[in-house]
Amino acid sequence: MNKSQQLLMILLIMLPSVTLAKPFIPEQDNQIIERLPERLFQSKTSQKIKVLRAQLKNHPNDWSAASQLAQYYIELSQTQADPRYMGYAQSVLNPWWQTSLPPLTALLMRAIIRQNAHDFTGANTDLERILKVQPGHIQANLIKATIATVQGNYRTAIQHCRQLMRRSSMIMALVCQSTPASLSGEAESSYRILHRVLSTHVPMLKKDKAWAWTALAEIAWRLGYFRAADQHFQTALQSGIKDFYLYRVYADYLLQQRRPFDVIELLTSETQNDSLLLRLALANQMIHSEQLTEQIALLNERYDANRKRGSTLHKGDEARFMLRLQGQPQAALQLAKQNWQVQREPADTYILLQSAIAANDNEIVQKTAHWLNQQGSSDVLVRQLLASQADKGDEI
Amino acid sequence: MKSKILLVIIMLTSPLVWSHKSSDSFVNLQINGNTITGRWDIALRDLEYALALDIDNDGAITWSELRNRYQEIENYAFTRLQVNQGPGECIREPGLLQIDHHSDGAYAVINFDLICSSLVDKLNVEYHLLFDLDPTHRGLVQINHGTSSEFVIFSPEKQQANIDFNPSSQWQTFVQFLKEGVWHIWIGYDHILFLLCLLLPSVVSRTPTGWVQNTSFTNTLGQVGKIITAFTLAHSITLLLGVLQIVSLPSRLIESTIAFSVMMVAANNLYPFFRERAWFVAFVFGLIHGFGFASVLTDLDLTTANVGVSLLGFNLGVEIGQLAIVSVYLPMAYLLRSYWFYQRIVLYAGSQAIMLLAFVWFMQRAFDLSIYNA
Repeated sequence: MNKSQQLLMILLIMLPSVTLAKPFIPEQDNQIIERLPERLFQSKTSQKIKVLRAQLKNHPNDWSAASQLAQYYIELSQTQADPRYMGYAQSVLNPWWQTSLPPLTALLMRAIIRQNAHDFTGANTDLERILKVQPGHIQANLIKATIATVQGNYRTAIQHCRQLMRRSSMIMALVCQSTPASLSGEAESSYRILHRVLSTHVPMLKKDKAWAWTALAEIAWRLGYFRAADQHFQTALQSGIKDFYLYRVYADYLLQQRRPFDVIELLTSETQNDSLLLRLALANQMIHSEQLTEQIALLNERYDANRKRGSTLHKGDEARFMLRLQGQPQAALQLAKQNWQVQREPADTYILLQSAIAANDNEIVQKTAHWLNQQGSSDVLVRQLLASQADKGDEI
Repeated sequence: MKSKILLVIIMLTSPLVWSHKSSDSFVNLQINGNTITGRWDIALRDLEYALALDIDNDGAITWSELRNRYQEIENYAFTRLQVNQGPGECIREPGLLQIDHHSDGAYAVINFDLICSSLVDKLNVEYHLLFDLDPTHRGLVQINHGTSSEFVIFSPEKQQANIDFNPSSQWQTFVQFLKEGVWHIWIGYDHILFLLCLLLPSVVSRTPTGWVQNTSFTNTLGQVGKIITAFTLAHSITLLLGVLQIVSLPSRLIESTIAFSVMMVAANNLYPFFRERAWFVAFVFGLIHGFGFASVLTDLDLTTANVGVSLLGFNLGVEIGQLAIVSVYLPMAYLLRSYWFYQRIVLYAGSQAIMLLAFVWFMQRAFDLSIYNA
């Protein structure tokens, strides 16, 4: 490479921040200006969606077509981590929600959509309507348990998981129960039982396998069994399905273990997801990578776009961004506090504690520690954090 | 080398760096006299979902695929956005089609002009784009008129908005913030006590033998005027710096220093250490009180309102509140100044009580005492 070529390369690398600024007219007719999400063409799903959309257009009252189409959209939204599909599903289901007696599936899908938008109250209303009629409804109980766990209502969560024992396999019930139980004083026993059961190689769906091993890995992590946690995360990854939740928590684990290069390997091609991009940037910060500046700019742009539309979904991540990448503990604490009012997963608690420690807000630290004690938390990461209060908190 | 460069270009322009987010469109309207210059950015993905642009079904939208459908896109879009000027009508003059990138991909940029029958200062905007296909879609509309701008988020629940750029609406903002300013000086006991402490000795003079009443109301007024002016000047400066976020201090520091300032001026009435320089003290501590006002103002919703007008209104409100207190206090103090009651009880015991109260505030604010009680 000669000097002018080097210069050209450098200029090209600097391009994205420059080209995003002004509208332009493409020079060539056949220039591709947008690639549509790949799963939506060629694949079977995309064909089916096309057919169903056409069918529904001709027969707007066709519930079977509508529910299938909505189901596809919800799945796409989850596998692609793309909220637009949730919007499409909403519009497909809307006519049935307007009726006085919506089909049970319509209610269930609304609960999923609402849960996804962090409207936990709305989701719970739908789920309770379902459970009144079918107290043992598997999915309704599962979602209910998930929401209760996210909100820190571990007892309620365990109750709903137990409902599963009668209807579905023991193993589902066990996985469901292990997270809330582990967060409310039963970490060690939950880990041992779940580990033993999962090690018996019972046949499981790929999706369930990823879910189960991720849950186990997280419990191991919080117990301080760092090597076991890593192995369990690996097993979850080997299930072969792309689970964004798994990617996110595994990246968090790797960051806490100070393994930035593994984070980068895991997430390099996942920059379209804001949550994963944040983890990637945090890893790049650890190794003082030159890419960091660009990624911070990108994250700023995305949080800004979300804020403009009034979205409040990313406050936990944004708090972490403020604290770690912008060095603004006060702003981080405000966001982390608001986030904690809505959800209290371990990661939400960590960022609340970290920003409170960084902002010297003793009251919040004490209150949070008190809440964790009340729940019976045995989280070693929290213990480390509180111990490190003097030196401003470690990365978790 | 060529292939390498090509690779880099592909990597940079590939959608990989684009994020997944819910659908938004962005409308920007610039009002100039009776013309409105408009720009509307709609995501190509959204247009594809609504109008099926990708005719050859290869998963990519080319420039020609888009350009050939421009007429149709415009028709689709402008049956879902209406901009009218108050009672009058506007006529749309179509403009260029361009492309721009937002954080979630490529957008069609629809340029247009609206020529209206008269000067535009009121707008009625109706927005319905995509709500039927995606209820999570939002229309983010920004309207600029001279130096002021309005921002509206349209959703299925809010599809219509009236925007008024008449002076009266600026006036309303001004009045609203004026009231806020008055209100905050009234409920901000620490500011009132600070001011009163400075003013308590203004009707009397200290001599080696004790307090002596001032004989000239004009002199007293002049002295009070000096103190008030210094305080006002100082807190106006820092209010501006704080609200514009040129300087930002931790709120704990601000709040505890304010408490400290009250403590100091109260103490000074008992054991004088800054004597004739009351105006100087008012200025120095006024700086920190301004930051306190700024935090109140930033807590109010400043985004929709015009910052300049709100700031002016709020500041004037604070001054009015302040003057109201002084104008009630001063004549009373002047009349009572010769009495034993004023010199002993009001001046001495009052200052002692205020000092004690401010000390409690200070401990609470600076050392977070409440948590040690628990």
